[in-house]
Amino acid sequence: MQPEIWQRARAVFEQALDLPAADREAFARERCGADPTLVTAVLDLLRADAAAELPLLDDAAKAWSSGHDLVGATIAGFQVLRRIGEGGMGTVYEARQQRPQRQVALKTLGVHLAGERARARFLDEAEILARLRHPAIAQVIDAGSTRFGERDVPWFAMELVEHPQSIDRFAREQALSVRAIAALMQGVADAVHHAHQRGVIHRDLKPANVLVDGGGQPKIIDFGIARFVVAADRPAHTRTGEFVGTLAYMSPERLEGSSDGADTSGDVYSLGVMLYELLARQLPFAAGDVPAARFVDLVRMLEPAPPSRLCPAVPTELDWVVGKAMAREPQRRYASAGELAQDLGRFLQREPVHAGPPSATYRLRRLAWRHRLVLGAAVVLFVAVAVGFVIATLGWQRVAAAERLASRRADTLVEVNQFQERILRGAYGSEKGTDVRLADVVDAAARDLDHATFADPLVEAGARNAIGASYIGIGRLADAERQLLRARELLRLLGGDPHAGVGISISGNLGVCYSALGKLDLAEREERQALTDRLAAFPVDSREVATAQNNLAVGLIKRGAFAEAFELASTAHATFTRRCGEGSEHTITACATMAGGLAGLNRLAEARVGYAEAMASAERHLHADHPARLAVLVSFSTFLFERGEIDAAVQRFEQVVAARERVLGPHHAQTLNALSNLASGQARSGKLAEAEATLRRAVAAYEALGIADGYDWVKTGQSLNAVVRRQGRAAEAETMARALLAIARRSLPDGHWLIGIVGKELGGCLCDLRRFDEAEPMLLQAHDQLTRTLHADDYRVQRTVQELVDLYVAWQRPGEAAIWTKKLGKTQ
Amino acid sequence: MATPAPSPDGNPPPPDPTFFAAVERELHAVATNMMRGERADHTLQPTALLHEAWLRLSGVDQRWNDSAHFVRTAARTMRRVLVEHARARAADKRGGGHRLTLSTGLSGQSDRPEDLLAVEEALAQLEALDPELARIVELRVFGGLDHPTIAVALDRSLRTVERGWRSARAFLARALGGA
Repeated sequence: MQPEIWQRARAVFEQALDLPAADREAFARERCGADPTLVTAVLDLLRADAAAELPLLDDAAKAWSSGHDLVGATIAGFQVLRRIGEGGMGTVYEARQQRPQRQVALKTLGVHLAGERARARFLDEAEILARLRHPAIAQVIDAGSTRFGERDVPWFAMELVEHPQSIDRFAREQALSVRAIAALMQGVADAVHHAHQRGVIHRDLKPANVLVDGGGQPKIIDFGIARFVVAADRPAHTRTGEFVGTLAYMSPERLEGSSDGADTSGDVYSLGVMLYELLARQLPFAAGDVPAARFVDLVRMLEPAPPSRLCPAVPTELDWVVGKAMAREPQRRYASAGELAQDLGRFLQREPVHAGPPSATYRLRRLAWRHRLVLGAAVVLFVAVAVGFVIATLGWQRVAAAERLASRRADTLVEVNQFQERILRGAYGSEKGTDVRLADVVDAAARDLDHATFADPLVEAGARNAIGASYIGIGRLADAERQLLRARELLRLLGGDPHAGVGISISGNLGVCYSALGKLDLAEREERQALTDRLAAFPVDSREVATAQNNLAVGLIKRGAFAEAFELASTAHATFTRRCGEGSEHTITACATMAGGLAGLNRLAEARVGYAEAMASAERHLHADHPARLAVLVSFSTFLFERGEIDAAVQRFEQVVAARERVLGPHHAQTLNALSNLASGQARSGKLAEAEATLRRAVAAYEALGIADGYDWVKTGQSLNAVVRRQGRAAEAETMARALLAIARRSLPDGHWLIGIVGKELGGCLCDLRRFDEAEPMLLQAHDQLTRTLHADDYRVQRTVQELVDLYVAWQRPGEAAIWTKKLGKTQ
Repeated sequence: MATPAPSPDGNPPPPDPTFFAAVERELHAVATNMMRGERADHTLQPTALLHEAWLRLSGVDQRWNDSAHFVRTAARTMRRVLVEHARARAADKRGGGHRLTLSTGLSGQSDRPEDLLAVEEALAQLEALDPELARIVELRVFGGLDHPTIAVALDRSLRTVERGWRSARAFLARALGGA
């Protein structure tokens, strides 16, 4: 056979093995296609696999030892009755002791003793083993060596365990409760401690070596035997093949070869793995698909899921006990198996265990292996929490005495630390394994806050503020609002000034949050508050003040207060230019805000220059997905769109939608905002059905975020309304417009231009339905409303005028039509 | 199981050929010695061979610290010794030697040395086609190792070893049955 044919045949064959036997041939024929050589080769393999019995190959281990049988022999007064088992270390027989009369287990070791010295040493060791007396240790009764041919083969006679079951099987079949498992393992750990105190280390603790007899009593077998099977002179390299089966229970230091296992802490680790396995019903590290020699990396790099996650009945204390027994560094483990037994005893007595959650720094170091990106995000969050704490204490300084503060600060630091640690654990304890996102970290933090009680409410307020800010960042606005309001409430309950210290930060964050939610009144109130607070706390030309000014300006533009917005943005821009430089994202953002104010004031040429400047600077200094650059791009494209430069605008909207979907995800409020803009562009290009689908998707997504009113939602709803109407579904559009108008009136500031625009749309629908007498007051009112905040030449006003002209023409009232026509076209 | 100390590029250090040749000679001597004059009730387990060889070698050279390499070498040596032994016995038989039965298995006393020689021939074919699979067979059949141990010795995943064994076994079965 050609090697390449073989390799292909082997690949297909091995894939086919994953299928039920009946499906394999069909699979092979399909995979091999028209290559007859390959088909034949694979089918031959499948047939050979199914048919052949090859004792020589299949039972190699049995074949190897088949020449060896002691049944019927009598060794030192033990009559060998039958063979019970074959282990890596030798063969086990059931034997009858003549005096006293009892059944025992006789184990021959698969080595022979070279010379008198080795024999003497073996007998010495055996005597030590015989002195171990513990209910959970299978008692060594006798030991010796017997001559086979030219060799001395050592043997042990041990207490025979009646109706033995390995401990894992016992626990599984008896469906042991968590407490029963703890009690069982307490006995095992106690026995291991007993042996350790007499200088005997097991070295190969695993379920197969911990039997449970018919009465439920655990019995450790093969104590200390591991070392006889190897050359005692070279303890560091005692591990030939048969020890590998115990890889899963082997301590990291032994896996790494830095310890020979002649150390009690290795046994403690193995006990920890067994406890884990019994509680979680699986091994902490699954090695099946990992190259065996890489297993050590697995153990070094991964933190096993706490047992409680795999089995909810397991209480956290036992997670801690397992964690302490299985600590990677020996010095972090229980100092002895006895301490492990005692801690299990404490658990059973419902006393607090000594093991605790690992410290934050330790966790951080371990986690650093796992997910550096998310860790980065988590650290950002922690810094925010810590900063929140510092601001909080600074604010507190005004009301608290200095010494009170000092002790408070120490306690608070501890609390912040614990909180951080819990967040990480919570996030990584999620079912997502290593696929943890910032959202998971933030959610974990929020969950923790809802369940924990903080001695210092300031910590909680600072933490909630930081989490609120994080939620804004990931677009979870409703969650952000809840956290921020709770933070403020806490400050109020403390009796301090809610607008000092951490309060300053809260009002700023709430302003951003409300603005994004489209709650313009609330946003303005918070933003003004934030600006006032910051002017009190920081210099007038500080970045903090400029940030508040710019944010307020953005909100005012949405409200239609363009003159004030422009003024504030100009001040902020000047500060940022001086403090941060031309290319800073802050300077660029403030420049775009200025342009937005100018556009609202209908100073279009200046606005265009402002946008162009901001765009050019953003392209020069910020990377393509930078949020500030995308925000500038959105404002600029909206500006172009409103000027009727549809193609240029749509192209840019598409760019923004793609970038935000990539960076923020499809459900982020900012992505939806961009999507809504894009749909308006599509509508203007005549792609009405497409635009309608996009807008309906956006509305649904907003609602999924808990947003069903406010600026952005009404704007999107208005676009959808217009698209429906333009497709000739005037009746449907009318119903929609009425509902929308009610929501706009309820959720937007009085007199807001969007209310006017929705009214205009409703009037238009009525006109389409030829209900002219109803349409007229609606349109006039809309016009009146719009001209109160917008320039007479503003495109929104102009469109309303156009609706009025159309109305009077359709109504056949040429006089009024002529009057309104005169108001039209000044700029068109 | 100690992992071989990785070199900076992450691969096991290259073996020292003269050293391993010496190890192989030693293993061969041990195994041959064990084969000679063995009585039928004696164990000839590969693990026993390993321990014996280990005891001898551990005093010989400090470089002998790669147990994965050790078991590979031991299995190869065992194979050679058994095959030599079977060849000698097959020659005896042709010269009118004793009749034997298959049930005694591989342990040198196989009543039909031809069985072992046929396996050896099929294994040589497999070796030419797919050396890695031949290593798996060698470690399993002649080294007496289980799959997890083989995975360590070859630095492969358990799954790879298990699937590889199925392929190798099918190949050998076909070669033995159809040849």
